Amino acid sequence: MLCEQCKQREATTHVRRVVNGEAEEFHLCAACAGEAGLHAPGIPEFGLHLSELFGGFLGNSFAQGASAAPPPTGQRCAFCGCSLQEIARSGQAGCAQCYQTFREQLQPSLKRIHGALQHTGKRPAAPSEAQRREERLRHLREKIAAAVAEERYEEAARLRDEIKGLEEGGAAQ
Amino acid sequence: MKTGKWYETMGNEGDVAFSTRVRLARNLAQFPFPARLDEAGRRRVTAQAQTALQELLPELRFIDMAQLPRTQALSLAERWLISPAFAQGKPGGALLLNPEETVSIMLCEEDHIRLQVLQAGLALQEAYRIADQIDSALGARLSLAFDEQLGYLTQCPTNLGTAMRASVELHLPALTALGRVARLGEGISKLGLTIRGTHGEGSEAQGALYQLSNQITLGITEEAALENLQAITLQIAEQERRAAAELLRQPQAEDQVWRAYGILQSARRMESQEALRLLSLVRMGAVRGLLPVKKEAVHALLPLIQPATLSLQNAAGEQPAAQDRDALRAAVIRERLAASGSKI
Repeated sequence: MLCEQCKQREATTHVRRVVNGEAEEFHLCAACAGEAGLHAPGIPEFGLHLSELFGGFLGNSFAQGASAAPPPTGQRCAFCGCSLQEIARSGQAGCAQCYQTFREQLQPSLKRIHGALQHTGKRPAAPSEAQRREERLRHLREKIAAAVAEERYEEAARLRDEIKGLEEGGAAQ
Repeated sequence: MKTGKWYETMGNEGDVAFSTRVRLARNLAQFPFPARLDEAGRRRVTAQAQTALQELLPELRFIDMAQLPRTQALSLAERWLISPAFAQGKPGGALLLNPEETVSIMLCEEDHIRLQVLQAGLALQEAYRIADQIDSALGARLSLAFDEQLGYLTQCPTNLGTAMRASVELHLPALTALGRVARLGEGISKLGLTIRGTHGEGSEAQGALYQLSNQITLGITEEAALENLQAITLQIAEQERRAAAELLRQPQAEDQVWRAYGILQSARRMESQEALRLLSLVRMGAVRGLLPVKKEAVHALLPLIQPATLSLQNAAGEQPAAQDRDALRAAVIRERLAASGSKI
């Protein structure tokens, strides 16, 4: 039988995967299996194999036109400049924003990998009011030091007022 | 000879469960993922994460991977403290490590922050509790990449959601000898878990060491994933104990264990693979009460005999040639066994 990925060479590697009780099988040729990391030597690392398979399958579903929404060609992540094709090829997103930009196109592959599309685990605690103020103060103090060093006194005065306001606001609470 | 490292003690279910690891992947929201950062970008991410983490845990030692001698870097990988890829020492990558080597945090590996907690034996809850505390404190200081639908955002989509990879390192010599490891696979994958040989590929796991870990991270809570791992580990441990009792009743198998002990006590040269194979048998003999040797001593030898870690035992700390290394390995094993066993 022919490789399901490239549809050119003879399939020699049989991949069977069970996600939440649903089995999936793939037949790949040596070259595509190698690309998918199935022959990577040494200790398999944190999702390495799956990540590369992910790239492969994502590319594959585009080739078949099976993706939920074909990506508008040339669309890039506004934050990091990554295209969907690059994500498909590497099996890696460029930045957090990529998941926002390509959410719809990525969902079928994510569903195949995880069997689900909604996170149910831990959530980061929102930083408290005091922590946010601390962070802002640290940032302003850095800026005021730079402004003074560069003799931008008007800006430094404005920053000083802002810092004073924040510190008093903090003390009042 | 004790250095206070975690692998010198055997934890819960320690006859079967060698160690437990819980890893959390986290990224800073305002930076691209590491693969799309240049060296200056990686250094900025590393510096931010380092400041926040060392404020939380002042005992963490900062190790610049690009500056670290190669043998030491490889030894860290052999002891599961970093990934093999991270040992290459790409500039901008750094490791934060506590003195007990139970908390290791890779900065700018595949994700900005890879927090790992290692514990002896089966200790999933404990390892997660420590990782969770550090992560929560970190999340209050830094703005982490998180999405309501997809959970913690990671460079690789296979880690989305909890971004947690928990694993238990298992020693299954009897199940391996009886050819029963492959059969374990079925029930394991139904729970979104996976088992694979730690050293070597396919079913021929060297030293009968396996890694059982969760594979699914999206749509499952941390607690559920850990409970699944815990339940399966306990089941496998029971099966291994029954298999060992069955195996060691066979005179040939018992003889193999004694022979392995004899060779390790007297050999003058020992290649890494042979050492792993023989130590696996001796470890089984020790934990099942067959051999007159302290099981903790055999247990602690396993990480020690790997090439880079072994080289660090050298007084000079230099990388010896492969031949000298084999002699050094044989000597270290003989010494440790002599110190911990009684004469036959």
